[in-house]
Amino acid sequence: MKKSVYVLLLTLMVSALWAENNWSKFYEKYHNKLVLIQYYESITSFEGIKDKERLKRYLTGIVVDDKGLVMTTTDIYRANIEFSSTTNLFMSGEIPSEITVKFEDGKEIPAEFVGKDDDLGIAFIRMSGEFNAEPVEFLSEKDLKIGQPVLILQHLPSSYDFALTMFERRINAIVKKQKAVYYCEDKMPSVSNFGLAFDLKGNALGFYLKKGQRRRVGMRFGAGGDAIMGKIIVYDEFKSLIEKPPVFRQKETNRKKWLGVYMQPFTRDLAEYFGQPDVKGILINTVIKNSPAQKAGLLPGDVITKINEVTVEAEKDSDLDGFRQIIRNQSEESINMEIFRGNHFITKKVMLSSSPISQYLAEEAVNTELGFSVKELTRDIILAKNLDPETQGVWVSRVEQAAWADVAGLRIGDLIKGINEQEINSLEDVRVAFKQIAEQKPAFVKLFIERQGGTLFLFIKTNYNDSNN
Amino acid sequence: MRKFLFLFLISAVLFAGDNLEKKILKARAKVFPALVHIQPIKELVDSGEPLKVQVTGSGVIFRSDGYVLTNNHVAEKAKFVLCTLSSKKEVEAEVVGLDPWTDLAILKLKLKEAGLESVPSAELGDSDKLEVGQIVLALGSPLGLARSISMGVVSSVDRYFEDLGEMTSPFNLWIQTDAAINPGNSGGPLVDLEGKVIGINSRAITFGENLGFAIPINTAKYVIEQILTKGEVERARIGVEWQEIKEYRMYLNRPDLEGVLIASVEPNSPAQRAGLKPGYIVTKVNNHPVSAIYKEELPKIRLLISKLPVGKKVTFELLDENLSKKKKVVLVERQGKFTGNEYYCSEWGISVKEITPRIMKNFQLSNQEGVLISGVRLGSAAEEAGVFNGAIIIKIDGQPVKNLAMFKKRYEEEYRKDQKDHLLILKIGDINRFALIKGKKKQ
Repeated sequence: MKKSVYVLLLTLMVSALWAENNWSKFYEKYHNKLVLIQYYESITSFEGIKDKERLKRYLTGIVVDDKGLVMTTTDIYRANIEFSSTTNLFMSGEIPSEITVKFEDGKEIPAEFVGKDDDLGIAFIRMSGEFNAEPVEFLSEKDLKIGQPVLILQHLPSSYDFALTMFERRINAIVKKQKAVYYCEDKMPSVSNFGLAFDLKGNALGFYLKKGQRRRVGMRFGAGGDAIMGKIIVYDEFKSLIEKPPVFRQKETNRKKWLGVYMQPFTRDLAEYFGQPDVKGILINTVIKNSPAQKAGLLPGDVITKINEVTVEAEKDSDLDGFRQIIRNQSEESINMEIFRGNHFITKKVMLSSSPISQYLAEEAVNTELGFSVKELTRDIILAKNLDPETQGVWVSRVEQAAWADVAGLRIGDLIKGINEQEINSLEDVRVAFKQIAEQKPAFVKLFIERQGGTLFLFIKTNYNDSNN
Repeated sequence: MRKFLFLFLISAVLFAGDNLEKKILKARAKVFPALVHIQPIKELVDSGEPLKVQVTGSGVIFRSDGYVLTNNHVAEKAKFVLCTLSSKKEVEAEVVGLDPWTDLAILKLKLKEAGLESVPSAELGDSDKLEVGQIVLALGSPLGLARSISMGVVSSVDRYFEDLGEMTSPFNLWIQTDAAINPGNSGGPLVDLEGKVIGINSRAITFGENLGFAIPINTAKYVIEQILTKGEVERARIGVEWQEIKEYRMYLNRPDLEGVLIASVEPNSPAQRAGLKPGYIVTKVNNHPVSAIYKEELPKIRLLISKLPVGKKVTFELLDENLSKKKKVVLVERQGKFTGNEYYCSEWGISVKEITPRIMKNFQLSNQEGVLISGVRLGSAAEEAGVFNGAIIIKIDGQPVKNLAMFKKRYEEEYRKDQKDHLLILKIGDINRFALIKGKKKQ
């Protein structure tokens, strides 16, 4: 009996020592594959037509291929490039500038922004100079177990001089959605809540990310506390992105697939109301005009039951995410849908398109003399302003403080329907009008604008003769 | 010599002061007995639940048989109105008429029940004759402090406010005064030194100092006449927003141009049907020349339009984009309601509102069908179903909901009683949502 206690103690001591040794081994293995990314972020200015201020920011990056590709979080470029998010309507649309990558040995290498994937929360940059680092090789481990220990390596914030920090965590919770999400308790300070996750043998499992909305406790809308859990995203989920990183090239940017419906769970209660207690699926409540869904003849009230022979269902709102991901990540444009309509099943072939762009990918025309800029209307703005989905035209994206247009009362968000005697329907029309104004230098410019559902005229008093521009 | 001058000045100031005080006391004596402290109990709906609140306002008796002029925002939604006269006698009152467009209301004191034959009334003056700098008194119950008087001058007689919806009359300019006006003064009289009512104190800018605003009494006189003869103020509508032409004149380099610019034409309005377009300049309405060079001249244009004969054809003479003359005939409509009725569904736990033209405009709706959800009670069947504030109910169980009356009828006859599940189709913007309100049967 006593013997076994001694054996146990001994094994514990040995394993503790062994672990300690391993930690330094792991540090050796990975410290030069984790980099500190430095860059400048433009601060959106509402007073000017150009961003003038910028902030230096830091992130952790992981070297993921031998051609200098570095993976980090989407914090590096937060503006949502697709229309569907109205949460960040006011962000700078400019991509990060003067990116450098700093290795543990102090060497700094310039880098460029490549692209990002908002669904996974990761972005890529590529080093453009000489570098000497092997990429992290990940292990394809699909299923992590609850209680399984993991090690995390990331940078501490600036007050700790960005030192690398390694800590052990366990998988504390697994939330099963379309795919399992692995959560760990985390109260560690870090520069970007992003790091490398590996197992106790030193095999890289994936990346570690701590992101989430803070919710107010005890408030009317509150549920959940202040603490946010970190999560581990396993290699299988981002493998294809390393092989073929998302590209950011303004309008040519790769975008996810889009169906063009609003939907809600087809709950058991709804199924019973319709007298179809056995039908499970996703209820379409709105079909967006000119969307792939409308072209395929989908209707509000349709229940989607299968996509390409695979059953889909949702009982609560969070279940819809899985469906959304299936659509967004379709590799083929054409999909087959099984739909329950009226009281029978039908099949529809749907040609998916790319998700419409947000204002950040929209083109902008700037007039520095009048002091405002306009962008073509994108779906995020149409949604935010509650405009008719068919609306075409341009909206005022910026107004320079105290410039001629500002003095005349032009506001961000106004739609421009006419400049002088010219009707405005596109950015091209604006460019033509701007050119004419620049040539003719009129004493007044007439704008016909739409604001809050009504229209009005604005007259911009110019001062070309006395201008310092 | 200097001494004399000094003495002369001193006495002049002293006499002037004496004179002023006498005038103030005289004016007060004339109006004070007609001052009313109003404490209505209002029934509101908040978060889908009925709620009673007591508020405080002021008013002035303008007829000795007990008619009181006050603000609409004091009297609206009142279920019970208690008035305290300056003699401290309490008298109950009933609401005779409301005019939210000008924020005015008329009450009638129930004199008989209070054992009164008649009450002292104030004389209404002429606000068109007001001059900037003239001394005025504001009477009322600031912050509930009844029977207060404050003094100031007329700071402006042509203050213009953009038509922002609530409590901003689009039909008149406002009298601005530095006489202290606070919440509770609302509905109280602004009087000149002759003791005549020249305005109704209505708004104050709370973050500024001594910036009070009163509705000119001449606007109120029209409202009184309309309410006392017809029970309400009937107004006409053509669906146009107007703009002054000051800058347009400069843009066109036509300093002699007269008229008023059409800024906006509402969809499905009489103006749109008649072919009026933004950018046209209206020069005559039924042969009557109209012009607004400055924005302060817009209220009188709106007033003129509001007084056009409902259901009749009116000829507009205008200049189009190229300044060529045109004539258009507009069939004038009746102005829709300002605030719609509200209905509370206690079983479902929601309150719904009628969709008025104003709501239609604010929510940018293309038609008036459906009912607007104005509140959802927490923990109610409707909240459980995902019904949310600001959405419009367009269908219930596949049947279109045309208007509040139809909804109310069906709710009272079926939904509240049948205990069945009911499927609502809600609409917000261009997005629909199904919401299933569970009946009680299965539970």
